[in-house]
Amino acid sequence: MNMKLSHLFPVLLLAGTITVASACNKFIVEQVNYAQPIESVLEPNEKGVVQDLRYGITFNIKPFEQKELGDQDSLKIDNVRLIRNAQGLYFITANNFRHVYVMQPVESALELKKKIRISEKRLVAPAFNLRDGEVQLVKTEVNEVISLSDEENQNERKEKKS
Amino acid sequence: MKRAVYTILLAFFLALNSGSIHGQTSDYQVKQEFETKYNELLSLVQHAKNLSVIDSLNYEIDALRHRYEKKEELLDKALYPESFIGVIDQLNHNVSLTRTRLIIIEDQREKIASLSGQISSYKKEVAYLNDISDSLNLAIRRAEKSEKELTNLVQRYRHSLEKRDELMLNMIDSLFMGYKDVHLNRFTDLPQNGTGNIIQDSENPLQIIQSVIEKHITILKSNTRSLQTEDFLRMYVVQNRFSEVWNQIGDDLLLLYGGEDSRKWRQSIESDLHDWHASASKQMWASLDLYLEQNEIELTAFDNNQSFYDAIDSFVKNATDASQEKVLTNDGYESFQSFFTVWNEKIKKDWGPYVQQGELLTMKQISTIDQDMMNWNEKAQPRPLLIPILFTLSLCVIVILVIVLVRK
Repeated sequence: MNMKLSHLFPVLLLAGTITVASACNKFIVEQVNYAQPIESVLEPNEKGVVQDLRYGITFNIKPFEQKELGDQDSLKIDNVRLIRNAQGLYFITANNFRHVYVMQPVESALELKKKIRISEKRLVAPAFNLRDGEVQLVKTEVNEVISLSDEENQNERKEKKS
Repeated sequence: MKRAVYTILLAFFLALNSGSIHGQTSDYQVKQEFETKYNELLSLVQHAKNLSVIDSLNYEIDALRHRYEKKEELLDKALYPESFIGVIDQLNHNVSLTRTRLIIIEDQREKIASLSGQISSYKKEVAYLNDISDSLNLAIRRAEKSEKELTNLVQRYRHSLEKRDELMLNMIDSLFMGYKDVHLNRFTDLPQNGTGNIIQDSENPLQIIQSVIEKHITILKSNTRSLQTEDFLRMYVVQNRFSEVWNQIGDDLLLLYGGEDSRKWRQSIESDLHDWHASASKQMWASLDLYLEQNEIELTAFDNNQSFYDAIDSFVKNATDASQEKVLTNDGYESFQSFFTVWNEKIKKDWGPYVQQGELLTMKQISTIDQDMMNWNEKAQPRPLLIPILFTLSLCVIVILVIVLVRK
């Protein structure tokens, strides 16, 4: 067994060297700003698919709907609100939601990064703004602005609790 | 003063529009509101009916710009690939275009109103002359009076038709060519609401065209025995001019005044024009032929401009050849003089304007015939025979004297 490992050592060393070398050759452009200056307001089709022609994204809202509305058929989504921050994360919400979903794009998918609870009551007319690189949620029906950046969001929650 | 009014109006529009932009609104909502207001103004500009509306829209556009200029950066991004200033400039450009169009409309409206007034007065005059002609024609038909009275009636009838045709030519020149100057095709670029009232309120020239043509056809197809060649020549000229003008402005008139029946109007007028041309042409050539026959000028058959020229040309050439054979007699010269009188006194002088306007003969054709006439004149001139006769007689006398002397 020891003999076999000693024989394999050069092979493993070579493989490791190749892996490190290829990692060093990875071409990366940094400081990319993905920010969308204005939110997209998208109307789902009968299958729940929303398509943003300007910024080039198509996905199905049904999974979000399932999480937010469950089996409550009386509640419907009029428009899906979508905005992207500088890091490339998508912020998604809609009327009758209680949360904003922060989604990270991965290969042919959107992966949940964070689910921000906005209020106990369902949102009536939510909207996103981008201010100084930070995504804000505007509850237009009550003229309230909620910052969705990590720190501020947490601070807000603490403030509300206190 | 103007500046003060402007400031007040601007303040008024700003006050009207203020409110929703303040408070917590979403950027998307700002964009939506701006686009809604922009589209509303664009539509108002496109459908503006007069200059005062356009002026008030200018204030509204300024108010829109003032209201949203603080959001310019946001709107530049939201409206990409357009920009905030770009769309406002486009709106102002549209205002400027509409203003120019409205000025044209105002100008054309005045011209059309004036032409419409002319149509009304022509209509009255045509109706008056038609009544006179009709009553005279009726009187001629029923005439069982003396020949003198009948001649008088015929002369008055011919005179009334002449006046009527003069009026037609005036109408064509001043009225219909007036429509041509209005540049009716400009109206087709304008929104319908801009032209609708002008057209509805004015006299329809298609109606007067139709009635004029129909009346001419009736005259040509009714009693024409009272008329003479120059009457038919004049009618032929009027018809020619009418067709010419119709070809120039017919399409525009149909577009503006034809409405939904445009195709019907075209079919009806063009069919009548064709009928009128056929009648006027047939009567005119037949009358010309009859006149020449009465003056013992036998031409080969003709029924159009070219065959008429060919007939004259051939007649003159044949007569020239025949004159050479009759050099010792006066016959050739007499026929030359007979034709010379008709050619110069009638065709070129009395009927000259109609021959030219109706293009019966071109200037080149007239000049060719003039040259042939000179040749004919030369050949037809009777030779001075007195000297040879006297010489022969003297010779005979001498010979006789010599013979008598020799015998003695």
